[in-house]
Amino acid sequence: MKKYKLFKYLLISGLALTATSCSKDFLEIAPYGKSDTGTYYSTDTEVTYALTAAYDMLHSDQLQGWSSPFFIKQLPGDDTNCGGGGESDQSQYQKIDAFKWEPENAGIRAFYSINYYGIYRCNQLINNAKADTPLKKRMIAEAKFLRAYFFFELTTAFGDVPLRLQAASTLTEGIARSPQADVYAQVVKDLNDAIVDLPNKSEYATVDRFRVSKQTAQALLGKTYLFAKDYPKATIAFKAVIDKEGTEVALYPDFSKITREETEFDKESLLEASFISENKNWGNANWDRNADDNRHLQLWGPRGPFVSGTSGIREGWGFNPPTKKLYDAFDPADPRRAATIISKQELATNFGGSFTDGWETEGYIRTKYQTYSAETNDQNGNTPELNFSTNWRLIRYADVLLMAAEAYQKQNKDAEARTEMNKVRARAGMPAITASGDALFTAIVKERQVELAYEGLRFWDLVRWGLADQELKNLGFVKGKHEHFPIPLDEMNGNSLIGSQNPGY
Amino acid sequence: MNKNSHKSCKSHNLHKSKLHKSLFSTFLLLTLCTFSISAANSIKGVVKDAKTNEPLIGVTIQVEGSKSGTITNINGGFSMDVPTSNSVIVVSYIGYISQKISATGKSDFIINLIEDNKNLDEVVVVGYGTKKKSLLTGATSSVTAADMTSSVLRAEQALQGKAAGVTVTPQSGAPGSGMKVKIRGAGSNGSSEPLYIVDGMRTGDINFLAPSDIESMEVLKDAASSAIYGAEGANGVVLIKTKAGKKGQAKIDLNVQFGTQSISKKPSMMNSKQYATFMTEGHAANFPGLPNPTNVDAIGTNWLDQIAENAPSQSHSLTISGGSDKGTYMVSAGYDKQDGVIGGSKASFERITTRVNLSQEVKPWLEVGANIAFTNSKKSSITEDDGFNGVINSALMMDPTTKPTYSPTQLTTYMKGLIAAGNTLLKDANGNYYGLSDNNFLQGELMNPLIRMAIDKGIYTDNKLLTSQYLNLKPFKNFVFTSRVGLDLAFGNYNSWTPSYYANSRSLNTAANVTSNDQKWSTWLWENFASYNYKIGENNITVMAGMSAEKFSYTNLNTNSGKMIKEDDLFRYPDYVDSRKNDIIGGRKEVKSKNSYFGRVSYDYKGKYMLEGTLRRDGSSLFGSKNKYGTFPSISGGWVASEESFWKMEKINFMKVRASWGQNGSLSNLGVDQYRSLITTTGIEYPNGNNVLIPGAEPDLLANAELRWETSEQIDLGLDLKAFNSKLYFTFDAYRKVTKDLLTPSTPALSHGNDAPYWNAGEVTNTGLEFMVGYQDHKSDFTYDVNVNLSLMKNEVTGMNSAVTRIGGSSLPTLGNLTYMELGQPIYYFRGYQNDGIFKNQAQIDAWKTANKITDATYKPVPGDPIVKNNVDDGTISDKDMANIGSPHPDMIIGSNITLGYKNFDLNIFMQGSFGQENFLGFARADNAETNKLTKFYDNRWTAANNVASMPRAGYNGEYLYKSDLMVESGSYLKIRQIQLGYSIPKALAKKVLLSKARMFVSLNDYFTFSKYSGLDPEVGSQNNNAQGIDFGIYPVSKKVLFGLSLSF
Repeated sequence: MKKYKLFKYLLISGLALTATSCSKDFLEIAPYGKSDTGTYYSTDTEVTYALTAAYDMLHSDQLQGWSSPFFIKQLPGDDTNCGGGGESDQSQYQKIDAFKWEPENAGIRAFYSINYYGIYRCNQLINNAKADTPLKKRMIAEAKFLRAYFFFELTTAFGDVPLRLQAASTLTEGIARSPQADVYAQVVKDLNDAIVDLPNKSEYATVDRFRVSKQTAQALLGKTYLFAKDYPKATIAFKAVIDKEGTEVALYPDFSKITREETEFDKESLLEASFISENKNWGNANWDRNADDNRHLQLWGPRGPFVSGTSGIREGWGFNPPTKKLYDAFDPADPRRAATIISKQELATNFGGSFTDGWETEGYIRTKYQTYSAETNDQNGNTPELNFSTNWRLIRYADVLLMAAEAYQKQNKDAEARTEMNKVRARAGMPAITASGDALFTAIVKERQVELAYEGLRFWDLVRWGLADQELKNLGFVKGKHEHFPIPLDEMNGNSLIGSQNPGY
Repeated sequence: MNKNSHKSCKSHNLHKSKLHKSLFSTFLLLTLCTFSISAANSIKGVVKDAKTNEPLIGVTIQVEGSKSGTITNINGGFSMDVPTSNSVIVVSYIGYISQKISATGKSDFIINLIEDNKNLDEVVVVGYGTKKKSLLTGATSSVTAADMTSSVLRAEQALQGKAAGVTVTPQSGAPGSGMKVKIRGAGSNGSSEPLYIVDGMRTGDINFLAPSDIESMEVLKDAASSAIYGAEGANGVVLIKTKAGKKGQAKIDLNVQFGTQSISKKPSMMNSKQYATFMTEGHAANFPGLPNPTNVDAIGTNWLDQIAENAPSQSHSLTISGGSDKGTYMVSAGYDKQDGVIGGSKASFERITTRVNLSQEVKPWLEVGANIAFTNSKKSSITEDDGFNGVINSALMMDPTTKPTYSPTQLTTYMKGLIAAGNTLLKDANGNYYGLSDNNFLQGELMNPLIRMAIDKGIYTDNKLLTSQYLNLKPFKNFVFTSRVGLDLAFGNYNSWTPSYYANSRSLNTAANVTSNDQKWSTWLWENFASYNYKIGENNITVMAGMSAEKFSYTNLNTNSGKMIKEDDLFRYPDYVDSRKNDIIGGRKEVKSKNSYFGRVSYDYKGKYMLEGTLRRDGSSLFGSKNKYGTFPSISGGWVASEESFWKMEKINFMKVRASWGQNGSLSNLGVDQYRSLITTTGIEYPNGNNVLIPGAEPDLLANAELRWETSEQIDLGLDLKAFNSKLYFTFDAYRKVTKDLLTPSTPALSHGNDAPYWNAGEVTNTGLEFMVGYQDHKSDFTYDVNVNLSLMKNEVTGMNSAVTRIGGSSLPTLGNLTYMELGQPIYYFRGYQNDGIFKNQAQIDAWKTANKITDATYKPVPGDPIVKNNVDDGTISDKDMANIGSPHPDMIIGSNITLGYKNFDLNIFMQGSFGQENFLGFARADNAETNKLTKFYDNRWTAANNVASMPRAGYNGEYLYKSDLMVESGSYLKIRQIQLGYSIPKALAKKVLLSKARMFVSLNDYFTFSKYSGLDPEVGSQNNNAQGIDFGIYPVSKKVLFGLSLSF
């Protein structure tokens, strides 16, 4: 029986030990390297970091594969084809270009997602951070601007969209689409809030120049009113920016440099998506939203066979090739043409290079937003394809001037319209426009086409002017359908309150 | 009475029981009685093992239909009286097949008994215990050391074709590659790998195990068998027992094996003439670099010939084992080395395995033991299973007009120009330059595969320690308490470097960099459980209960540095670079814990009626407070009908029916922190105004507090049968396994605006029938055992969250998703366009457009384009017309094993086949028209002259071809896995040289494949669970010729 007792003690202690190890705490593992959402957004540093993550969505061109909103906005337009290796190369882009976009399209899904990712980040910051320090106050204003920007992008592309201003409490919580007017109203509200607390552009230190300023918010406010066709209010907002010409904003003298690195964050540039060369090579490059280089520039480079000559252009993967229509849209005397698009003959004559046409090329090479060797680097083992640092210009002062001109013209204030428009032409080295009335409007349309080519503005300009059918019909545009992207399938399925799809899908 | 006493004599594990004792004495008494009564005819003889010719001691000899009998003595001899001259005697012995022999006209017998490999009285390993096979109520399959043919290099391989219902697909045929093991189909949308338990210790994979160390593998297939593993048993469990020493038998086993491997099939790709013709047809005439069909060499380069080679393999093991009456020991060491048939030493695998298994009875009530295994392995690999950068992918698609190499004096003008421009063109060992597609004609990731191979430098080294120490307390009879502590530690390093090279204008590197990634996994598991066996009369009850705690942690450190000081293998570490400025470092830690309570009650009455219930409750740190714990029950029963007194079918000596139901969980697809909402800073940076990255903090995942286990519920009905004195054996199982609450990436509305966690959505149903039938017998010196197993299976997604139509799986390069999980379809089936032929001419196009009501003006097919089946009538051809074009899941798998023995020769033939699955030809690049293609693209293409074609025109490169069923082929195959001929030297001769056994063999492994598939190997696996069946240029399973020698001292 002694033996039995011994055993009993052993058994009991054994079980007791196991039981102890399996106490409640045993199954509670604190997360490594992550913070609790509930207590975040309290210090200046935390809010700074959280805001940076919202800015991050401006350049997340690889959030869901190749999915650049900046490129997606260009594709339906007539200044570009999709290009690439063939009709199946990155088919999400090919289909957007060809007006074969469906709710399943991965590019459209990404466009929608990226903007809502931005909104979620802004919402978390706006709803959780307290404006109890000057820095936090400014950051909340920045977040409000960004939220307005993301909603503006969404409503432009999709029309009525869910106006989500609070994080959902469960994964299945649905939200109805809000009428575009309500979305515009929220954008205006956020922008007006932001304008109060944002500094002037010049007040930012060099290091903070990537941040949005009072002028950025006023520019977007004007644009919002313009899109909402409230021209008087648009004029007021634009005027607030134009009044600061010289001190806060200005046109850069040399048009050929406006998308190059040397003019980043200068007075012409009101909002950019910032990219950086980061010592990337094929072994260490990210293919997700953590990529910080501008890989789409490489995607957009002319596809081989390509000989650079002295053009300084590197071979790329052939996407976003320019159209003859764009080339022809330029006045042959317009110096902006060579800074935007050259023919392959010009490549040979002026630079000693050569180019062979491939999928969807029309004998032209883009010179704006191009794979210039100077904008990447191959030092220290860097792979130049993966180190382009050119920033996307999302709002440019020249755009503000042309939008202001349009708003004036729509109110029949042709003189004011010409004044603003001719600033842009003068910078380009082009004579002043003297037209008025409908001819002036047509001139503005043309001016936007050539001044703002490859900036993702053309397609929705044509849509809001009602010119899309006329200009894009031969490319596949169907009136009454393609004015908006379809709501992505995953939103239609996942959101129980989404309601009906856009017409035509 | 007779039957019972006979049975109990055979049973080892009951030898201590009172029941047995009493029966045995009764039996002896009866025997004596018989002797005293009758004294008619006297017979004598000797009983031997048919194979070894050794005498067998204690064999029961009985007169059929009477109670009289005897047992053999120490020399295997016996003598007894039989009542009449035409009596039949029954010779039976545990572990051997019983024989009936007519005693007519004969008095001196030499009886050879055949070992019964399918013995029902053998004791098999079950979860937390052992059980007599005849009492099992669940569906299990056993693979024993004997089944593990001496030439198997990996433990999982031993399961292929040997166990009904178990699908084993190599992830790749490259040496050292893992295998995907699925028990009863893909039961999950992520990994469906079973749980591996080695000597009681759970472990992630069994890569580290030397097959020669394995005693047995038990595959627990139904819910009742695996429910004792609760939260992790849903995909089945493989219980592995390693070899232990045997008491009183000191033994030395040495195995040596050498082999040579070669590639078994090379797909038929276009030769250079065909290629040049095809490209000229497909491209504009002035396309730079376009090869001229009249100038090219007729055949050109067969790139597969260039990369394939005959590769050696070797495998050795030494095992020393034995034991005294108080303890046993087993010490082993092994070494394996295998080069690849593609890549040679650059795709090699080298492994050193060591093991010590000990057990000691310290006190009559205390036994301790330890199983300690340490394995070091090194795998060099070339890039494969990759639609962009795979070596084989490049070999299949590289243009055949380019020569493999060019001597420096015969370079093309294009290559000379590149060298002059300062590009690094690589050379082979002889100083010849690897050929480049002329004038940059073929470009992109696809390149001369010899360059691909030259720039592949990856080496993965792994050190793994798996230990389990236990103590068994036996304080009183029929009671055992076990406490077991296990450690599973694995340390891996991946080291690679990229040299500078120029392959074409889009694939080049200008400065060499190194990658070195360290990973560490560490798990401890502590289990305490007790079992008690209790008897009341004929009622036998065993109760087992226990608890378990487990903690898992993972850390890694990833580095990338450059530029290398010198481009040399000896400089492949981060210290040997010219700058610290380019360093990239990353690392993280993950911890999981689990604790569990489990119990089982087994009951049987007379070994005739069996009932068993199990219950397990698991708690895991992966879940929030709402669902931390899950409970998993099972119940099963069995009836041995042949034990009934009314059983009249004498020929059928054993028949058992089984039924089981149970639930299991799975969480293998779940990472940490899925249930809570956190803020992370990892990787989030944004460039500031000075072009310097500043850190950001983003919400990690949306929270899912509702997250819970994935639960699989399974019903199994089974039948085990033995007939003709157990010469014929048969097992049948039917099952239906429904996995509910699948852990899938959630798909909340996109407007939620963040990365989604996993959630429980979806249901997969696997149903199947499993048959196993075999026959074993002997005719004097000739022994044979033939068996076949066959499984019919069906996989279907039977539930999906309404929020999602289909979940995307794997993608094709630049074409987007191909595989999907969708309601009513097999899991991760291929979704694409259904082909309806090729447009002959414009008239047909116009007619077709009218017939299909195509109103979309932008849809403008030309003659030679594929006709897409217009499944949705919406006026155009679009994504919506896509449908199921194939499934990677087989409908039927079979395995057949034939073992023949004649005197000292043995022959084993093993076949395995898989039918009904489809493969997708993924080695095609829609975005790269210049790639080479299968000859069927050439032979069957549309041309103006031959407009009745089954393949499109040469210039067609759209997704209606590359994402259509034109790229799908049957993956069905039958492989003769092994033909092995062995010879054992005669015992007497062996004894002279101190050997107890010496066998040599020659074996053809994976030598014959019967399949219609165009690719290298119909067995298209992948590391990626949702890319099964997509052939990106699969690394083929090599065919092997092996020579081996086994010596036992």
